[in-house]
Order: sequence, then C-alpha cells, then structure tokens
Amino acid sequence: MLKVNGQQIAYHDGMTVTDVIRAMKFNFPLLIVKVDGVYVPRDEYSNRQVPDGSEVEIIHLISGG
Amino acid sequence: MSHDYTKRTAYHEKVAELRKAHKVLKEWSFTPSLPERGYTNRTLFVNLTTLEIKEKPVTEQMKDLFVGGRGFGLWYLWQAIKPTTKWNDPENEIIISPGPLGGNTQYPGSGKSLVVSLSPTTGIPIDSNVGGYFGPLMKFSGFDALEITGKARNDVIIVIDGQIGKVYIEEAPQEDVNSHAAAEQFTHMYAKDHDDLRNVSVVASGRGAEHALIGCLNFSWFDVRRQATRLKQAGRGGIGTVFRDKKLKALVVHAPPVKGDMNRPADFDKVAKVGIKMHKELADFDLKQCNMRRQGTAHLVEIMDNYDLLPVHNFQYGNHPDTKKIASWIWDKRFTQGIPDGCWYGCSMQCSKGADGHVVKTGPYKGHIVTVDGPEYETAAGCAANCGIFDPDWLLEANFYCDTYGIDTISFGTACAFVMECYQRGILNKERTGGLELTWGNAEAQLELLHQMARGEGFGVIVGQGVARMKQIFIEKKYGDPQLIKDIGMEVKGLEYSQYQSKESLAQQGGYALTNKGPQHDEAWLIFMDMVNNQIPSFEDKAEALYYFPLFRTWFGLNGFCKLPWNDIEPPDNHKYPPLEAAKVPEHVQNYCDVFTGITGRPLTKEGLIAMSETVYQFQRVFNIRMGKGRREHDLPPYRSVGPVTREEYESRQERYDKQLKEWMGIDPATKTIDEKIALHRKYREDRYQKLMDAVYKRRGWTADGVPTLETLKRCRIDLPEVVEVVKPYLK
Repeated sequence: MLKVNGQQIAYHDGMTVTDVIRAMKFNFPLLIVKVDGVYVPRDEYSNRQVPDGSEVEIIHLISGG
Repeated sequence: MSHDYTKRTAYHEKVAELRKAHKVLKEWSFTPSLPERGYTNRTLFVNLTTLEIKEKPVTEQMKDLFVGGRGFGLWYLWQAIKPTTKWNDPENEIIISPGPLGGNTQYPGSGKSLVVSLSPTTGIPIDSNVGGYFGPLMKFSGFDALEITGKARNDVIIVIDGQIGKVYIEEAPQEDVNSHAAAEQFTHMYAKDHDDLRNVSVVASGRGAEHALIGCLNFSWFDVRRQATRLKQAGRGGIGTVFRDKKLKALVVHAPPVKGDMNRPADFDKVAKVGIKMHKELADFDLKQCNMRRQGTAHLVEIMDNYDLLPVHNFQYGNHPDTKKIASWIWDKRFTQGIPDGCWYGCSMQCSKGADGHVVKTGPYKGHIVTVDGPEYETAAGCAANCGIFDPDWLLEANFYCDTYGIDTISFGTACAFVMECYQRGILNKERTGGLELTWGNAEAQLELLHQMARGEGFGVIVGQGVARMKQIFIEKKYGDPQLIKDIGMEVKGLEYSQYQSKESLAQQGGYALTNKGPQHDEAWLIFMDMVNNQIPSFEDKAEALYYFPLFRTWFGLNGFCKLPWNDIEPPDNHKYPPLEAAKVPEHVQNYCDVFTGITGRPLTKEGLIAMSETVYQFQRVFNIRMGKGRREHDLPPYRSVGPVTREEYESRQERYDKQLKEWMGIDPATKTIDEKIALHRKYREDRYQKLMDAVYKRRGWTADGVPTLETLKRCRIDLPEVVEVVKPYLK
C-alpha cells in the first residue's frame, strides 16, 4: 500500500510516480511531488519508482482565471 | 483542421464615407507627454452632457493611497456619485486606467486596463480588467486615467489623439455598434496608414448591451500577423451597459508608436533583467506546464472536469462524459498556432488565442467569416458545459456573438444555465419563454436568446437582466417555489458566478461570496489548496488564505498587470518552499516588487505589496457599504454553491455525501431519507459558512457585521473623514 495525500492506495511492483498520479486520477500539470519527504523533479516522474509503504505528497498549485 | 488566418469578412472598406457623416461636437487641445516613472500625473476628464473636456492633476495622495488602475477608478467614482446614484444616472462614471506599471514591454502580462463604474447588476462599484492596447496607448498619449461622466444625446465617440495632442467628441451615426465591426472601422478610420494601424485601439460594446444589464466592453488591438482587429473583454458587472446608456459608440486612442522604455522607468535595467528571466521561464517550461501558448486558459476544461469542478447544468454537477468534445486538445487544433498571440507587446505568455475562419451560422452576420477571440476557459465552461452544449462550433458562435453584441460570456453563461434549469424544473415553459425550448444542450435556443438581447425583444431581454433580477421576476410571477429559485440562481450581490464548482470547498465558497464586487474568481481561487491538498483545514487557515490572496490579486489591478504570468507558469525550483508558500510563487512575487521599484523608483517589499492592496480593498468595502450593499447579509451565497440543493445532485455524489454525514455529523445515512440527508447537509454547511465568515471578518479587521473598524481604516491610512462617516453608524 501507499499513502498518497493521506489516502491509502494499492501498490504494484515497479510503480512509478507517473503511475501514482494516474492512480489518483490527477491531470493537473502544476504539481509538487514528494516521496517520503524527498522532492521528485517533473522529468523524473516516469522513471522514479516509489517503494511499497511510501508516503507520497502531491501538492496541487494554483492556475487559471 | 486548418484555417486561413488572414481570411475574414472586411468591415472597413467604406470608412471614408462613414467618417464624412461625423459631426465634431467638441475639440480640445493638450500637450502630449510620456509618463515619468510610470505616471503622466494627469487624468483626462470628459463630460458627455456638457461636452466639457479637461485635464485633472493626479495628486501625490492619489498615487500614495490608490496607486493607479482600479484604485484610481474607485477614488474618482467615490467623488463623482452619491449613495443614491443609480447606474443609469448621468453622474455615474466609467473610469479606465492602466496603472503605473501598465504598458511596460519588458515583463509579460503588463498591458491590462482596469475599468470601474457603478454596476447595473450589483448597484455597487465594479472593477473589470482587460487586455488590448487602449490603456497603455492612452498613457503614452499623456493620461494615467480617462474619466467619463454625463450622457450624450446621440451616438458619439471620444477620440484621444496622442500624436497631435487633440481630443474630440464626435457624433458618429453610421458605424456599426457591434464590436467586431466597430473596432475594425474605427481602427482603419483613425490610422494614418497601414503601419499606423497598430497605434490605434478602440473600446466598443454592442447592441446586446443596449437591452441587457450584463453588457461588456471590448478593447481592441491590431494583430499585425493576422491583419485583424482583435478584441479582449472587460466583462464583469455590466460596464458595457453603462457605456451604451451614455450613448458611447466607441473610444478611440491614436498614440505614438510604442517603444520599450515609454514608462520612462527609474531603473530600466532592473525591469529588463526581471523580464528576460520570465521570458526564459515561459519559453522553457510553458509546454511542460500549462501550455498556455497553444491553448490559453482553455487548457483547464478537462482538468476542471476531472476534479469534479466544471460547472455542468447550472452548477448541479462537476463533470460530464461529453467534456472531451470541448477539451483543450480540440482548441489546440482549432486555434491558429505558430503566430504570436499577445494582447500587449512583450507578453511572451501569448495566451490570447484566436479561432480563425469561423463561418457564422446565425443572426445578422450569418455567412460572415470571423476570427473568434477565444474561447477562454470561463466561456467554454459557462456557455458550453454549464448549459449542456458540448459542441465547439456552437461555442465559437456564442463566444463571437457575446463579444460583438457586448455581452459578458460569464454572466450570460450562468444566466442561460439558470433559465435552462428553470425550464427543466417547470419554473419556465414554452409559454413563458416566448416559444423557446430551453432544454439542456439546445444551442440554437441559446443563440436566439443572444439575438433577442441585441434586438431588444422577447425572453432574451429578461435573461439579459441577469440572475438576480430574474429570480425576483420569477418569484413575483409565482412561477415556482421561491426557495428553489433562490437556491439555484447563482449570483451574489447581483453578480453572476464565474465558472467553478465550489460545493466541496468551503474556502472557495468564501472566495466567491466574500468578494467586494461579487463572485468572480479573480480575488481568490482556493479549491486545490482546500479540497485537494487539505492545506488550510481550520477556519483560521482558510481566513488567512482569504486575507492574503484577494489582497495579492488586487495588486495586479492597481498596477496594470495580468494575473496569468503569476501562477500559470512556475519556476522550476518553486518546490523548495513549504507548500503553502509555494502556492504564492514567491519568486514571481519578488519579480513584481522588483518591476514596481524599477519603474516607479519606490522600494517595495512583499509585505508592502499586500499593504498597498489592502488600502484599496478596504476602501472598496466601505464604498459598498456607502451604496447599501457591503455587510454580512450581502455576503451570503446561494445554497447551490454551498451544497446539494436537489435529490439528483445528492444522488450524483451520494457516496461522498453519505460519508460526510457519517464523518462530519456522526449520522448513519442508512437511517435517513434523501430529503432528510439534504436537510442535514444544508444545516451543517450553512453553519460552517457562518463560522468561516466570522473568521474571515476577524482576519480582515471587520466587525461581525462585516464593517471595517476604525482601527482597520487607520492602519490602512484611509481614516479620511468621508470614509469614517460611512462606517460610523455601523460601529455603535
């Protein structure tokens, strides 16, 4: 399991940050992602694997209007 | 799909003939001048009743307290009107001011004009910001602001010629009133030659604004690549209606050619350095972030749908399976790509997208080929999704006619959605709408409403009165349950909601209803911070956000900035800040301080920026009180923006609402009927909103009735006798 923004979600082997974002159904582009408190740059989302049991923080910034 | 972006119907071929019919009513001379450190230090005053034209000094006190833009507009309007003044009284004014930083070509998004008037729909001051060239060109002709009062007898134009130092009031009987044609005609009429077209900007409205209270203004600029006169809108609050009531057909400015240093900044290099940094940031990251350069704000359509925030069927729902038909990838193809789309020089955000080659399907321009300026997100959400119309061509049609008729797409979208829901629920029927079947998705009926507004006939005129008046009318005529009509009519203070669902974000409920002018998202957009990130859980946290963000965003309107380059692009290292700080985009806030200091020579800190805004914000709140609409009772939202009104709404999110019953209220949903659950939610959510008001009022330095205290006015340096006089009766 992973804890994403306080919510438990199912884990699968090799899960990347991109997979986590997809699992959460987030499509907003301005995100700050931290895995166990460590920042993940945007261009590493698809390669960076998230260990089982991690705590992931996905902060949405603001845009629009 | 590819469209020839130079091909469109021309309206300017007979401008020489049109001009022959002009009659000069007044000519006035002035000495053209450039600003010094962002200010020209004078305002152009025009009285359409007496034909008086004069210049007024911009005082140091004005600059110190009110800065410019919206601040100047509010200050002039305060002096011009009485508490009893109505929007269509001659003394109501329209004030246009770009602010001291407006017109700089170094920093992206620096071409905004702020327009202030007494609103026909709210009865309180409205401020509306708009791109296009008018404000900056007016400043480079010699004026920080244009103040218009009085009413003309016949259709007139005001021409400010900053190349020769003349202002004219002219009767102009033959040009089109509708903006897309009028702007083109006046641009070609007052340019000396082809190269001079870009030095002309026109403000116009349209026939719709003559019969509706939700009229907007269009500000033009000449797009040299398209060879087209394009339009941006000062949409909110009905200023176009005031404009046409004054019998203004157009304002025309003809200015010297724009150069990079025309604000004559105190430290040009400082401004240029910050600007170059932002241009690079936009070039490097926009495509990976919001893609504003290809899609403009329309990139938000499917995002809002995905987060259940897109208003669908009059804000009943937050998403729809057909959203994909109006999503960003449609606009990516439909907008002409590869040509710059800035609505002011030097804006590298380039988000002023245009759909070329639209063949008009309906109305007086049927068969014409036009360039549609947009749609932006708000127009797509309001005129399409909120009305159940998921067809890009019909959206372009509505966008085109709203603009050219001078109708605000946001208010129209919300008003149209309201009558469609009234039709769904039997509050309206074919007999009451004059035969129009206002069913969800009926695009032809939507367009007919617009054409009726322009013709001044039929049910369209009723819709054009806006949601607040329609609610009164439908209740008076006993068309349906008064409570239901009040609950589903999406307006506060008389202004229609802009296009975001706020039901699941208490902070955004406040972000809409605790605004000065009415529910427009340009004060605060807090939904992600609140609903998705859960960053502001307590009332005090939300109150802090509802203190900071409205004040921060007020600052753009004082200085002539567009909000978009603030946070629709992020520096790559923005993550280094704690999340609450990151939402403010601290590096960009510092950029604004640097640009302010670089142009005006006045040092500015981030704290000083907020203090600067607060003076004007508190003043506007007092102004509202002076006009009878600025206290607690006026800050209450319709229940549709707070929670589920109907069974269908509840059932569409039943799992969520049932869970909330359990977690928030400790109630087992299985023991309750849907109607009981709706009632329980309503009580809980309305109580919660009241607590939010308490916290926000305290943070803003207001009494429990929402009145700024004397301490607050003193802290903000606006304890002027006439200001104190307004609040005193409420402080006893």
